Amino acid sequence: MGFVHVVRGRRWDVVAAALTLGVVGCDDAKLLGPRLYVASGFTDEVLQLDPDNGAVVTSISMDVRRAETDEPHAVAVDPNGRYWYATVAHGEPTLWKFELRGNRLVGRVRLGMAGAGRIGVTPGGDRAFVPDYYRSGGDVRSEVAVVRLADLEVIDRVRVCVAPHDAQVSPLGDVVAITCSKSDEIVVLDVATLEERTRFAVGPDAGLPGAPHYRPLNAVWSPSGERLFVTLHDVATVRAFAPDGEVLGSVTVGDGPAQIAQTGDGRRLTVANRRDGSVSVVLTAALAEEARIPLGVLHPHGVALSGDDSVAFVTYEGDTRSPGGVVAMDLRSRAVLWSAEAGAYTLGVAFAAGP
Amino acid sequence: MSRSSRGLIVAVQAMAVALLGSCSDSAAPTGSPRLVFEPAVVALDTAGPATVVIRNTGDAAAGPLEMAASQLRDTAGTTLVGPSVAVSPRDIATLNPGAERTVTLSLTLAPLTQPGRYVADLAVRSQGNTLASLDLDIRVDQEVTGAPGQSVAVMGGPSTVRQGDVAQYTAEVRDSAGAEMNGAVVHWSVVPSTAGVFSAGGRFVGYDVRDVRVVARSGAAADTLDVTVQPRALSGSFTTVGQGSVPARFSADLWVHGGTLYTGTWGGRTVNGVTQFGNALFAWDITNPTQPAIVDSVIVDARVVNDVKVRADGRLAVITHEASGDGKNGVTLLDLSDPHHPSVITRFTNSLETGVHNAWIEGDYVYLVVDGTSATSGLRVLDISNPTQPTVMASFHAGSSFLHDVYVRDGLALLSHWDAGLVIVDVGNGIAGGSPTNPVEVSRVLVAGGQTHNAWYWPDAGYVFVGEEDFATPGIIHVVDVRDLRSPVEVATFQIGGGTPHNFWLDEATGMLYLAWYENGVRALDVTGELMGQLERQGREVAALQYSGGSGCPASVGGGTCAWAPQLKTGLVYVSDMNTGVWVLQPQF
Repeated sequence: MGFVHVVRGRRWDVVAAALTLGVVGCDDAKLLGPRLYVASGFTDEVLQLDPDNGAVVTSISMDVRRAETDEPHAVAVDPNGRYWYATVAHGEPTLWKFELRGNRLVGRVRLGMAGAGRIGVTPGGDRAFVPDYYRSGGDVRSEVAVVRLADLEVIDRVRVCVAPHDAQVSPLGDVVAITCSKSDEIVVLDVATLEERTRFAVGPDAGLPGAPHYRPLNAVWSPSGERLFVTLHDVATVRAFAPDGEVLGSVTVGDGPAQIAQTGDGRRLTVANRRDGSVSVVLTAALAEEARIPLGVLHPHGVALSGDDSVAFVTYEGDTRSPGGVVAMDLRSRAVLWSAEAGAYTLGVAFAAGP
Repeated sequence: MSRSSRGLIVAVQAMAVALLGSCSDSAAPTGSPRLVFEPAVVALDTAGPATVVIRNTGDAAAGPLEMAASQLRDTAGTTLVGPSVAVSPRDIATLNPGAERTVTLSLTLAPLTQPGRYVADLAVRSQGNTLASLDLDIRVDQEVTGAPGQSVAVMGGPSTVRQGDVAQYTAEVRDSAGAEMNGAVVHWSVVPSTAGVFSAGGRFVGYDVRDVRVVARSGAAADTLDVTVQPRALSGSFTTVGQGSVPARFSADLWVHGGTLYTGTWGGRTVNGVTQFGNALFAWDITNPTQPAIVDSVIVDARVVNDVKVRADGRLAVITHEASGDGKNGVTLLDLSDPHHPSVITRFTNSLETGVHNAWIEGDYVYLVVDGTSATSGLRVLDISNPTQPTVMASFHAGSSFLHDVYVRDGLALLSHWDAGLVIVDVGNGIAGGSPTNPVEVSRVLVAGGQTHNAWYWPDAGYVFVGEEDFATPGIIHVVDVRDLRSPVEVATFQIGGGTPHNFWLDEATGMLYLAWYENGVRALDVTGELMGQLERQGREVAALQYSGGSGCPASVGGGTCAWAPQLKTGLVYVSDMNTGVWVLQPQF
């Protein structure tokens, strides 16, 4: 494993150069092609990987406070293919904006919240929704920041629920679904007005705020926007909802489902199962688990699909005795194409076809 | 009397320059930002702020932009401690091509700022690069409310002063009829002007060891007094007594109690292909300080055990968890009945899930620093009267930025609240009716530069020493006068050539401040007497030791000195070093 990608301290030696150039090794031709971005939550960097083999192409520092853990948490790619975004969850949580071409940092905005979770970008790429995934607030409701991406202006913060983690904008761009990890709810906001359209519990045994039973973590909309698939982390389940909250079905997956991705045709879901180290492939029509593939790694967390939906890239966190990394799995053969240690406490992942 | 009632009129004139570029390889965009300030000259007085526009005239976005004003300097280049130029906004998320933002500048004067001409600069930085700068030409005028004096005479003050000691000078002003003009303003200066610094009211501290001339002016009248600044004449050294190694992990904070020393661990360190994270607390036997030896360890679910604190009775300790594998973080309380072999009482995580960075124990309460920037983050007060079942009793957040460290003394919690500054909170002192279960803010001070990292409160002297952890500009120790706890004011600073300070320890009996300064090792600073101005120019640094060379801090293999924290105990200074473990130093002064 590359020394620089694991050891926070040693990385200080190259931080100055990285900050000066915007990236490390910015003359690498790999920078121009398809790439994976993965957030290394403990080493305060986003790594750009070669999706063909997992090799680290470059490291982009997000180390605001050199001696503290800032925790890059989520990464997302602009639908227009010009930018990519990342959140920092600790210290003063921020949303960062990079040009896809060259990874040049062009902006960073303080979100004015205690934490930062995933990034929901509207289909036109004009707004982002970033939930305040703050887990130490007891039963206090946190907010979702609404950011105008052109100039990185926080145009609003909407108080939604306890420890919201994911924000997923519907394919039509009219609503955004917020997963409330510590209050067992989904909150759906109108993207234009930011008014709450609906709020519903993810199950009949929903816990009290601050003491969840299901712990909804992440979500993905079907291509038509008629179904919302939600991972229920504490009950090993993916549940499908209609936009109004009607339960359309459930499927048992591996223990501790975290992130979820969907093929472009909407036929399959890929779910990273954090607790049992596996990935579940779910058929959406039947809402049935087609396969559960052990990855042999600790704490799978994020999942992203290649542009042609043939490969699932799954990040894993590692633990306090081992680093994190990424596993690439062929979704047809279910074979592991490669597995690479990359970073530590490796969290969010996004695939980009290139600028 | 307020600054405005004293009739101060301040004028700031500003001139702009700009520039910069970025990655120019084939993968990078072809454009580049270009930032300029407009207009080139800005006037400002204390009646209200002035504004300047920053515009991106380039063809690529720039950001994030950080705006920072330097400390004021007089025309001879001597830095003033206290007055500052406030900038709003302090940061701009991004500035697109053709876009502009209005920046507001306002001057904050320290109570004893003298009228005169000063300079400063406003820099706009992004990712370590200065993209544009603005030179500030500042004039602080004293409004003349009456006829100037016809004569002035220096009446009091020593003709010999010791470098770094504050001396008081007085002058008498008389009108043309020979009558004494009570309240007449006297402007004090020193020749050569870099040899020391005056504050209003005739308080002088000498920097250079030499003969100087003290000048008192009132209107056109002046008088002088020749003064000799004698050397402070302090010297000393550190001698290495012992060293104990932690080669596989980076070391973090330490605490010494009796014959045991405890060290935390930090980050991920790869040695011979094996990465080990900061998931350990080590207990060291230091009964023979020449050979500190690890005698036990506690492994917890964390990637950083940043802090360890031992209760005054030595029977209980707390260690902090960050980046735990289970995501619950929190703290672990340790039973120290056998000090060399701590045992876990309990791990407590409720409302601490995002991570605990620092801690302080005071009796039955543990004060914890919880990551976050909202009202529900910051300080947590934990009741540990039953250590098997801790209870969260209270929380406090200063409203902006994040809490980094807490130090409790005399019923006051000194909160190092990063860009919100030093915040003083009553947790039982009584000054503001606070208690451990009801923390009440007493006051706060935003020291220049922000990034308020740690603090040490010295009640007998009325000072708080504040560390600014800034790896870029670089870091500074700020001295805050808290003799009036409700009106803290920065009065002095200490910095060295580079790097940034980390934790420190004050020997209050001798007034010696021991500073861990990462790659710059351990420094000993004499902080006796009244403190004013730039302490590094006053011969106050008594000793410094870069005990392990100077390359790589921290570094997994082959790194040099990387001092994290010192602690004085029984005449020895114990130092936790990120790279190497523990050093035992004998100070000799």
